[in-house]
Amino acid sequence: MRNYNIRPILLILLLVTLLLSGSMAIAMVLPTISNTVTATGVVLSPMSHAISLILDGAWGSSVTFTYGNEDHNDFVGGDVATVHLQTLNHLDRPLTVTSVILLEKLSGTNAPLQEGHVTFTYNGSEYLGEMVDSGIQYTVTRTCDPAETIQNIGLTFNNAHWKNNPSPGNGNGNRGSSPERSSEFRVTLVSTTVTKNNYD
Amino acid sequence: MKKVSIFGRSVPLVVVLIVGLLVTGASAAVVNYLSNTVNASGDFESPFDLQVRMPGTDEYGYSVNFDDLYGGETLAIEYKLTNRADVKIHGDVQVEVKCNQGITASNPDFEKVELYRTVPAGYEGIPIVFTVTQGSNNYRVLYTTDSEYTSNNAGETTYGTIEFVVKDNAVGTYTISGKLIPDV
Repeated sequence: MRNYNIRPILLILLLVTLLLSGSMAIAMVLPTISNTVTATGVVLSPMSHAISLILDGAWGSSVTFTYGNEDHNDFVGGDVATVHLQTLNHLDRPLTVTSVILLEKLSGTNAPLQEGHVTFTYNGSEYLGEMVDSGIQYTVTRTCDPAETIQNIGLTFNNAHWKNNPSPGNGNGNRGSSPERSSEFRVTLVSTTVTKNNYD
Repeated sequence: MKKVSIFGRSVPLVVVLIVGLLVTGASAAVVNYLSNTVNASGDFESPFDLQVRMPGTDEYGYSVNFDDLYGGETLAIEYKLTNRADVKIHGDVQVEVKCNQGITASNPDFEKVELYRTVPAGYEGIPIVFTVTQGSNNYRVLYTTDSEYTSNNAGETTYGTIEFVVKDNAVGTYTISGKLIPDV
C-alpha cells in the first residue's frame, strides 16, 4: 500500500484557480465603456534650414567649393568665402535654435585643416570651432523670428596659412615647400535643434 | 489498495473517486430537480458612443487624419460623447499616444494635454487636465483624466475639444487613440 501526498497537487490547483480568477477580475475591471476613436497625422520640425553659396542658387544641407586654383598667385590669404544660411521659422513666435556646422577640407596640398587656418563668422560675429575627425565643427545659437531669414556665414582664409608668401614674417612661408594652391572645402549643416521655447 | 493523503489523513483513492462522482451527479440532479432551465441571449453594448472630428469639418466619425503640423503648434480634436444608457455613467477619458520616433512619460512630446467641454454650457475655458503614464513600450504613453469631472447623464450628449500642445522638438508620425474607461 502506497500513500500519495496530493497536497502539492491541491496547492497547484489552488494557484491556477487564483490566477484564472485574477485574470477574469482584471478583464472585468479594464473593459472600455465606449468605442475607441483614432486620429493620425505627422508633426514636422518648426524650423527649416538650408545653405547655399549664392542667394538664388540651389539650397541644400551642404555646399562644396574650391578656394584658389593651380596658379597659386591667385590664392590670396585674407579672402572671405561666404555661405548663406537660410532659416524658415514656421511658427508665429521667435525660436531659439542651435545649429552645428561642419567645415571640412576635402583636398589640398597642405596639411589638414587646423583651427586658426580659417576664421568662422556668423552674422558678423566670430565663433571658435572644435576639431573633429573630419574637420572643424562650429556651434551657433541664435534666435530666429517668424518667417524666413537669411544670414551669412563667413569663412576667412587667414593670411598666414593660405597666402602664397615665402616670408610672411611668422615662419609660415610656403613657397618651395608645399604651397597651398587649390583646396576644396565642404560646409555641412549637421543639425539644428530648438533649444528654447520663447513662449509668450 | 492505493491511498492518498488528504490533510494528513490517509484515504483510499477509490473512495475519493466515488465521492467525486457522487458530488457531480448530485449537483446535476439538484439543478434539474429545482427548476427547469430558461435561456436569454443578447448583446451588451458599451454605454458611451464616442466620435471625433477635426475643427472646421462637419461630420463626426470614429477616425480622423490631421494635417501636417509643426512642433510648437497645438493640435485640437473635437469630440461628441453620447450616453446611450438610461443611467448616469462616470468614466475616465483615456488617450493613448503612439509615436514612431518614440515617446516617454518622463519627457512627453506635449507641453500639456487638456480637455475643454463646450456643451453643456458653463464649462468654457475650464480645462480638464490629463496625467501621463508610460504605455506598454517606449513608443506609447497614456493620458488619463481625473474621473470626477467626466460623467454624462442618461441619454445626454456632450461636446468638447481635446488640445495637444506639441513641443517644439517633437517630430514624427502620431496615432492618438481615445476611449472611455470605467471610473475606478
